[in-house]
Amino acid sequence: MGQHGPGVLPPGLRTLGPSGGATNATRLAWFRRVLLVHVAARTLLTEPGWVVGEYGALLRWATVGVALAGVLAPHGGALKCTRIACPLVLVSALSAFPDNANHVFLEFVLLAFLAFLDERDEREGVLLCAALRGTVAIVLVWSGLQKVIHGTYFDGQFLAYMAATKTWFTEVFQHVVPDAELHRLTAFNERLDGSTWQPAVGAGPYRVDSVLFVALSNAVYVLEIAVGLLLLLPRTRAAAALAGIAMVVFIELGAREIVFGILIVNALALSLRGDAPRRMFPYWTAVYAYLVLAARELVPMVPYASS
Amino acid sequence: MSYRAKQRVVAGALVVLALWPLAHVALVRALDLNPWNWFGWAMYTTPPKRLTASVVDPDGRPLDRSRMTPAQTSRMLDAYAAFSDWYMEIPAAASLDDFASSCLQPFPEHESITIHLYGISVDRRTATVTKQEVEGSPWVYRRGGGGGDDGER
Repeated sequence: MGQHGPGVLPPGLRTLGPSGGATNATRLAWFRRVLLVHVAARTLLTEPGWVVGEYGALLRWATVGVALAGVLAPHGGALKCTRIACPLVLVSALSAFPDNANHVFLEFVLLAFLAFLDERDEREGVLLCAALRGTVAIVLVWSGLQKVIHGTYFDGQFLAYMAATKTWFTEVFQHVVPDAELHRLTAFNERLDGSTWQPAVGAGPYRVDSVLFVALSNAVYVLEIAVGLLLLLPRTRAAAALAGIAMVVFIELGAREIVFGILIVNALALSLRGDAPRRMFPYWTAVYAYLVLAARELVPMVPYASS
Repeated sequence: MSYRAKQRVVAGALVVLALWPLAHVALVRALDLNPWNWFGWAMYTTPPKRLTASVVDPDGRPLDRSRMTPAQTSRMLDAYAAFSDWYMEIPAAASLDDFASSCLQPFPEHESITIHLYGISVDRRTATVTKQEVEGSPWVYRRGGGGGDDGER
């Protein structure tokens, strides 16, 4: 458990507290900046919803402006900007209804906690740290449990389907799936565009005769649940965060949802020792800036992030 | 707001976050929602579904799309895309009216059309791609009268 006194955290959250007050405040202040950069970049990278025309542009640029102002402002200003950005992100998310991506919801939840609590107050900083860590743990555990509930990872069916129909998954799993099996699965496809194939009706079965592939498929949900649970315990938290970051990097090789990947990696970094958010801030800012410029075709888009 | 109250708000929010996926599982099953969305953290759990439609005249013949102007084709495709977007997320909230109207309009000789909808997905048990007519299909749409199950509207 951390160094915070009794009563600072409610009973269910006591294991999630930070180990040092000053370090915690610094770490959270930098995480706030990383998240505000994320909000600005994601807003610029996402298609507008039904709030279009002048109102849509106003919403987008207000969100971007407030988020960037929060990054540059001293702390009191950053908190105010977070409090303004939070409802803007909510409106923008609602405007995409019914196609609401989970990563925007995660962004909103993290932002809401940062808007609600001020890390400069030591007790609130402790509570904020616990709230953010708890959110990440919930997301990971449920992400794994949902794969168990839907039952498409036990025999590798889901990953076999994705390996057969999505170029990025094919590139990753070609090293694991035997050539003959990959050829069998992709032979069902009818090409739709540069990176997507559409399997014919009757195609399949999407199962792969490879112990390694099936083991990898099952390892996905096992790791997600394990990392989520181990993040709850102080003794295993840092190792779990490192394992979680490695897992996300591996998943992103196929999934290529880089915005979600960066968000969850940063949230996991809150469980590392030291001040990872501060040290990583320039790098993430550079990545986001590159993605925004590339999306506007001002610089070439690397193949990885072309979606 | 007191610190104790803030504690309660945070604890309550985390409880809701932790329990919502249970409701998500139930809603996805009951309403056939897209599991990838709706904040249940079930992205990458099922292969994406597809939807396909077959539109036929009162004699059961497919509509001759070559008779449609580019503008009519464009309107029909837009209407279908809008319907499909909603259907894939919340089937119960998707309306075929615009799509049906855009299909009927170029064919004044027909009083009605019939729309068959098929879902294409990977069957969990057999791991093969299956095509099944969706619940409620086919729909018959009469000129100026909207639509309904089996065309009695």
